[in-house]
Amino acid sequence: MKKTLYAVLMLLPLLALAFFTVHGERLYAINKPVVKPVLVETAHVEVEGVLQKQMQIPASALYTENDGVYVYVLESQQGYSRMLHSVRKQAVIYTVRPEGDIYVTRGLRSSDKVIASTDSALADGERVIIQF
Amino acid sequence: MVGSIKKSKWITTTVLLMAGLLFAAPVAFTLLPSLHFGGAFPTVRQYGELLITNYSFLRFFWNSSFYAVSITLLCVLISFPLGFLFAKVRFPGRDALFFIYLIVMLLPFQATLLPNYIQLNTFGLLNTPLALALPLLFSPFAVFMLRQFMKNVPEELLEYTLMESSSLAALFRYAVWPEVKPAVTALAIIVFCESWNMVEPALIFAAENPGIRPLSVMLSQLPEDVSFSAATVYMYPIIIIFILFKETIQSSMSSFHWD
Repeated sequence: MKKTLYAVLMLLPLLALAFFTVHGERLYAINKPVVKPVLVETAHVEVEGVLQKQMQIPASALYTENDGVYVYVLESQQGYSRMLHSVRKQAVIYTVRPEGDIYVTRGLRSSDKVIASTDSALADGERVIIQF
Repeated sequence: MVGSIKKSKWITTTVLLMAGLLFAAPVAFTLLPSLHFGGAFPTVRQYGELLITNYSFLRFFWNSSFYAVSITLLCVLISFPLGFLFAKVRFPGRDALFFIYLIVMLLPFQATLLPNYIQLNTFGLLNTPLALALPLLFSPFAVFMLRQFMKNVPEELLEYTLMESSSLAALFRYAVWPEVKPAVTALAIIVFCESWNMVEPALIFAAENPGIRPLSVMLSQLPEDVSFSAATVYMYPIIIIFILFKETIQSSMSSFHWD
């Protein structure tokens, strides 16, 4: 009797694994923030006679905290069945052009994707779902 | 006198306890970090990250389970009559054949890897689940172990059963099976662990089809932040089986004879 109880208790994690096999993807989609990434646009701007590479980003991608201004950069790696995406907090220095466009002068590369909008608060290193 | 017995008992307990701790340490060092995720307090968040964020890793858990269960069942089914053949049936060249079996058993898997690969390639089975299962199905060790136990089955019992019924199935069921039941259980556990932990066949025979690989190979490819919980999930079936069948393993090991 006691042994049967032990056996049942020990097999419970197997049920949990079966549950996550079936519902893992749905739970993943529910629990992670949905973000919209945009590729930064590279522009060559002349600053004081020198041609400088600057990245144009949407204003919604900028976050301000007491220690500075930063953006969330999308990082992707290959998972088993699909790409897994996470965000990296990146401090930037930017300028605002007369026409209102925001250009990042330091902190981004031309191949970076920044998060233009999100449905919940992000944190450094958090996994996200992408919506195009 | 009593004091010295007490003292030697105390020393034995201490030595055994230390040896036990030494063997338990790797398990503990896998279990404990799996309950941490960044913060200072124990949490099951790592398991959440493992099962939800990396949910697709479970596919490989079920791959492993499928291989281990099917290999165990079929290997026992194949080795049972072969063990009986070497233990009880007299035919010319039996001992020579068994000697070859013993030599094959002593060969490491790496030595038969290339012939296995060529054979599977000829049959067009590479990169299919069968390529991972077939080489492990025909285990000389399983045959050897069952033969050793079947030698202990009394001839009189076999003859008596054969008088009652001429069917081979009845002979196995009523005369052989009750005698070797603990051995078969122990063998099943050993084969299960072996196939659960297979690495080389999975890496080499399924090189171009990562989707059919077992968890033992994919464990290293998980993100670092969930590696300890993944290792715990990987250890779980083996530990459960050992705890559930501890007494059977012990009893069959103690009745094992080499000759």
